Amino acid sequence: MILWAALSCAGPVPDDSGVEVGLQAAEPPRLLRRMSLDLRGVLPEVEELDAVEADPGQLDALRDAYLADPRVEERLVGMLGERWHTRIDEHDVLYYDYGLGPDDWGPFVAAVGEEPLRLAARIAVTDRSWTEVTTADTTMANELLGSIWPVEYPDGAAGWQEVSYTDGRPPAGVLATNGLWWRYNTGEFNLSRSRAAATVRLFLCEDLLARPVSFAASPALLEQDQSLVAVQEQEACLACHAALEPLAANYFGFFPKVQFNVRELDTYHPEREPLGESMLGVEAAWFGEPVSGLADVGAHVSADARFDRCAAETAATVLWRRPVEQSDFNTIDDLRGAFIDSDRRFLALLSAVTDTPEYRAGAVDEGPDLAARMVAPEVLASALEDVTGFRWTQGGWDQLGNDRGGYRVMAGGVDGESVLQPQAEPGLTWTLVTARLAELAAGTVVDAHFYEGAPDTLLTGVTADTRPGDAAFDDALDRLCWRLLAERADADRRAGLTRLWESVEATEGAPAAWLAVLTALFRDPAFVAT
Amino acid sequence: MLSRRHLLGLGPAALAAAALGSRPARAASDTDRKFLFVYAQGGWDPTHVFAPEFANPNVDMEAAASTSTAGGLVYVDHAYRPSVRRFLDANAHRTAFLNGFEVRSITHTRCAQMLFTGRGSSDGEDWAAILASSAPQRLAVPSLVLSGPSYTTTLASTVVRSGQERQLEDLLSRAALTQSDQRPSTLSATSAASVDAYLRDRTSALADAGSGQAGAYLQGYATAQDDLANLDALGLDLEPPTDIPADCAGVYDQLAIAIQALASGATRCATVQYSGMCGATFDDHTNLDQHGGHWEALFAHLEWAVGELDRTASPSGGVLADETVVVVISEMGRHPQKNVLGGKDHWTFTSAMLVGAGVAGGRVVGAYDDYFMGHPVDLATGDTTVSGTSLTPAHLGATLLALGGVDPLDWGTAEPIRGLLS
Repeated sequence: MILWAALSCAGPVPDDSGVEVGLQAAEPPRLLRRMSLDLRGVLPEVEELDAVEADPGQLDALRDAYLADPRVEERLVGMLGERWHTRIDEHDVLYYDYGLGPDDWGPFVAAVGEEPLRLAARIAVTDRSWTEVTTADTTMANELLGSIWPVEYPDGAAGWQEVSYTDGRPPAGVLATNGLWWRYNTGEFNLSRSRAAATVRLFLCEDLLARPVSFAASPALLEQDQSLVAVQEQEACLACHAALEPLAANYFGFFPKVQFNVRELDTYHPEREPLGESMLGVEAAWFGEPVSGLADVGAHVSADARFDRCAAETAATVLWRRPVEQSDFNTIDDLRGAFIDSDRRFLALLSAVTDTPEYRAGAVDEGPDLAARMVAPEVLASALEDVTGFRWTQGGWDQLGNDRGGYRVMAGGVDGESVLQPQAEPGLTWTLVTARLAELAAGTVVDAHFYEGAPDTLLTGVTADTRPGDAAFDDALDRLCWRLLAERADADRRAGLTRLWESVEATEGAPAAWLAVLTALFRDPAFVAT
Repeated sequence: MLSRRHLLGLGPAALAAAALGSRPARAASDTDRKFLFVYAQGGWDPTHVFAPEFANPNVDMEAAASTSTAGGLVYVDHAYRPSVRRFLDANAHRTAFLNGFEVRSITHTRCAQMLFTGRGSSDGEDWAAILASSAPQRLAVPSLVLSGPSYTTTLASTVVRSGQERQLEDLLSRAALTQSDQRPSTLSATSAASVDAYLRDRTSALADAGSGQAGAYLQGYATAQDDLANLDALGLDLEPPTDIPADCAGVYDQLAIAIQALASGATRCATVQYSGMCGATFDDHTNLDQHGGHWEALFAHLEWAVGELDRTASPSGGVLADETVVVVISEMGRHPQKNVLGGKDHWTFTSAMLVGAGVAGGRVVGAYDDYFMGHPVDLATGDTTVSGTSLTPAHLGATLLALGGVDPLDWGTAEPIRGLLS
């Protein structure tokens, strides 16, 4: 079965009224593969593929099982990272400022960026209301953050733990995390406005910074000391600043005296909270409602009517793998309703998104929907690690998770600074990265199978003497296509892979030939897309 | 509008031949035009070069600076910036200043987005990607980003990033396979070529069978495989030559690679970020004196790069300078007055400089008013006039598209500033 057929042959998806909406549903095995990769970051097991092939009605039950899988938490970190943009490669404070060594550089950068994402993910997978994202009195830390930040990291614990800060910061969920504010930093001229704008963008999905700022109508801005007055009095400025300034006034417990000082940045300063109102010359407020500090802001954020809709937009964007369009208005509204009905459980929201025709589409006749979605770099990495044991790391850096020396953006990912949306179509660097990654992963399988005697690999049943024409050879190809692509190998596929195997085997032997076949399958357009 | 996908019917050999340019020298057309973007990151102060506002009491100018002219260009001269003077003396005839366009934001990330795309939202395509995607032949490396930002949505596959540590070179040479904590067996070069061939055959067949969006994915996949094969044929050199000046931020290296890529015929647009001396950034709110050094070093780099363009053969038989526009930009300007710390804060109005083919040399288009805001401009003539248009990055971008033979209206942007075109 060719990919195109797999993507297009399952028929139109009906909308709520049963009317076909022009979206062609993917074949059930391919759809299961999409769900498994999206929700768990790994391929479905063969038994699961067999089950939905025999009975497509099994899809929803398997989807629900995936949502209960512990690996969902890691995937949520990735999904939210694409939206919140906290996983940047460099912060104002560097690893050596903490006395850490070069081997901790990558883990340090990754941990800082993941802190707020992991708190949100933990809230989601522990069946708590999504409103806790801006109200929780905890954060997440691993051993590294636990050793350098003012948090109560349990003795003897390992890995990411839900912990509390010890520096008197207010309970405001991710709004009280270092990781969020190290990404959205501020200074003596910005006065926390960037943090106010980030709060509105992340949790209300309104981008105040996208609104045009023209100084042309504000000659008063020429006077250096008049800028603060102008943004509070000039009509052109007020449209944004009437909301920004009063909100920004709540973040001064995080306001640093020196931008590159460890203790200034990692420790909350309750004594600086009053500075906000005095430096900005406004009373603290949330869109006109007076508030009494950051904890109150967090409560107002999650009680804002736009919060629920933004959650729905966020979930749809990360699972549809495209921005939400105006034409999606009604669908997003339905998702918002489902979210509220679930008492604002984010996993229930993800489940609802996987029910939408936009998610289940396997082919599209027209419109902005993408039928074939490129797999995010981190999902490609985790899926390959699961089936091969290979993870591309170097010196502590996840090579698919950074751009300093790695390949995150080159592989179609988001760097959180200048690349803010995942790449939707293949390009040259994407091809190169996936090619090299596929080869390394394939090599790991071949080494384990032929040279290390591993009992259970993708090549189980294959020996150095297995040849085309042997039942074991065809069985291996069939099994690989089903396991890796969720497609039954057809004659063309088998013939092409066999020719590739023979051409390499003739000069380099069977292990090299299987290395070539596996590399080709890991680079296959059906493997690197869902 | 011609997109890469329209040209899928061309085979690799034809594409490689076209890109290699085995044609005799001829006059370069708009669609041959190449672009080298030099992005001065951090927000520069135009009063250091482009805006000699000495008579404006509202503008704080450097004490030791003065007004000079080169060709028709009036600029800010300073004894500590000889490279500026040398560059303009040599290149004024093909250099234009654009003064007083408004970026309409004062946050760096948003300003950069506005500058490169003309849009404040994150769904725009940058000028380089549009120009590269509109090249008359499909290019293996349409828009090469050596450093600096790039903003794309549907044109993302047009952009090829070299990576901060020149990872592209390692990927192409397969050295990346050794840069891993785990070092499994890998393919021989012959076997790797067999895998590439298998995938090209398979995806081409699938793409031919497809249609709609899923077809687009498959076609994009097939195109990328072809691009990779073409790149081998072109022999694009991503290693900088050894006989070039050195600097602590590696900007000369990047400029050299950019010029090699433009000369190879594989690339239409290249982008290099200049972040001030040794990466110290223009975004300094406390020490305006340091800006002078940034400008001096910037023009030293430009002087070398434009000289290289003069010395380097182009794919069409002339020299690259005859068909390349150097676009020198920064995401915002600086406040006309110093703050209490002696620096200058963010300002929405700024300047840009265009050098090279198709540019109305010796021309200053636009101006600053008493409040250091932009004068409206007659787009047709480039003259300032009260009935004119207030300039934004969209006008700059439209002008670049026009220089590259692309109709700006096809991309929903503004009218070009024809007064900047020769």
